[in-house]
Amino acid sequence: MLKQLLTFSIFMLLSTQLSAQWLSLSTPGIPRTADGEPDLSAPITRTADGHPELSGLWMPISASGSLYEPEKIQQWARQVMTQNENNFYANDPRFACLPSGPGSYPAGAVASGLRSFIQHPTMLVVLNADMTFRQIYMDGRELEVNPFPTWLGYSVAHWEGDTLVVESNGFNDKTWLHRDGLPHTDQLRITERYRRLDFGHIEIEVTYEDPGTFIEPVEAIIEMEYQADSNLNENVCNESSRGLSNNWSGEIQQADDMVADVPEEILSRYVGTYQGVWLGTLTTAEFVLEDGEMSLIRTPGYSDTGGNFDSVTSRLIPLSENAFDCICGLGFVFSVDDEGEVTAVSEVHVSGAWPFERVD
Amino acid sequence: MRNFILCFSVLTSLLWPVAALSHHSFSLEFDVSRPVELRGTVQNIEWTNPHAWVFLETEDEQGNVQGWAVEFLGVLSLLRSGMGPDTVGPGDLILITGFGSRDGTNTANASSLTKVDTGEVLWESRGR
Repeated sequence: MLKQLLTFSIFMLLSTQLSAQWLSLSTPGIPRTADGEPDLSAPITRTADGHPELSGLWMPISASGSLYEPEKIQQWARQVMTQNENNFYANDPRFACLPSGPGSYPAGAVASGLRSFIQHPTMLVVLNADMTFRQIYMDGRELEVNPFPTWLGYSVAHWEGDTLVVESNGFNDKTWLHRDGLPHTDQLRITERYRRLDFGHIEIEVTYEDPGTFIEPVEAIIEMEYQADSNLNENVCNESSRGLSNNWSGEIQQADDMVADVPEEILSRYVGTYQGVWLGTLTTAEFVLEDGEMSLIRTPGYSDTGGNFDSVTSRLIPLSENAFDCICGLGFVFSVDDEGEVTAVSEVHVSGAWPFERVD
Repeated sequence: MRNFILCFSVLTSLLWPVAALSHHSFSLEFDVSRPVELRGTVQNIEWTNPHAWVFLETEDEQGNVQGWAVEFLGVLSLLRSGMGPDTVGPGDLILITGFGSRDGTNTANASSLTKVDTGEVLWESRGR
């Protein structure tokens, strides 16, 4: 009877919050601190067969390594990256509602990096935020030698102690490996080594081998954090009647044609450091002026284009006395008070103008 | 100030547990030197991904009616930021600030949405 009452009470409680419950429903069964917060530093949990438990909702919070070093990339691929930069990354397969494939491995929240792991003794299933999935076979099979190329590729895995080693091949050549528009060929082969450091963190050491793209194998270290009290929700990419809304398919050269001739003494007033919060992320924007050209050093880098999470420097194009295009794909508008002091800058995304206050 | 921002960040990160899926670069579609203020009546709202759209009719100085399409966050991000299907609807008189498109069409993004008769800011692009 008590059990029935409890079940009924929980049902009634939940049914009163229908509109919002799945957005932030408390994750049951995870370690929590005394004040009820998820305890991300708690010890790892293990499955019945003794392996580290990887199931849960995860998000990359940092990515670094030689994957981001231009000198490791062949000339043709560097040229493609420059072309991608010059059209504000319009060719990102994600913008055409196509799968990001291996490009999602180091992707942050803004680039559909959220993913859910469902672990079974013979398979690790990865559900991605862009509604694609990976089936990582752990049933002892080996990779095929020459599989038909696909967006997500084929993956097998085995345990080496507490490390899950995932090997993948069979990728098509239509995705990018990170948000700076790094292409690859269908010779790509990827090895991921997953280690759960504690309850809240997984470190993945990723090795990329592609003799058609890299001068030598490159690697990325991706840190992922457990996303408690949240959910992976439906996100059908192309349901709008407006289509994919890339109304303007221009290039940066065209933006250059719009350049306003702003005197250097005005530009110099904007030089400084600004801070604000964009979609929950404390962001620092430092503006510098060198040889008459404005640049932005953004920390963290805008993950739509950066892929890594360190500072990223990008050129600014003045469109008016106080409005600038950034080649990173964002707009910036400086605010000047009645006394001529520059007090703030708005970082403009499709999602709106996010205010950053001047701190230095 | 820094502490305030840090606290603010922590607070907003709780409210934006999974940030928006930004679907394309701002600069690809919009002109940051073309700020717009659109005062008009909501005709329709599309709760769609990758971005939600508000369609409204405005009147220019000559009284000519103009239709505008305004791009917002995707559905999940709007819901997480507190704007839902009950927040605003057809027939409401609203004021939207944002930036116009590069191609000169009546298309804009949104930085804020205010209900004109009450002055209530229903949505704006800052953490809440």
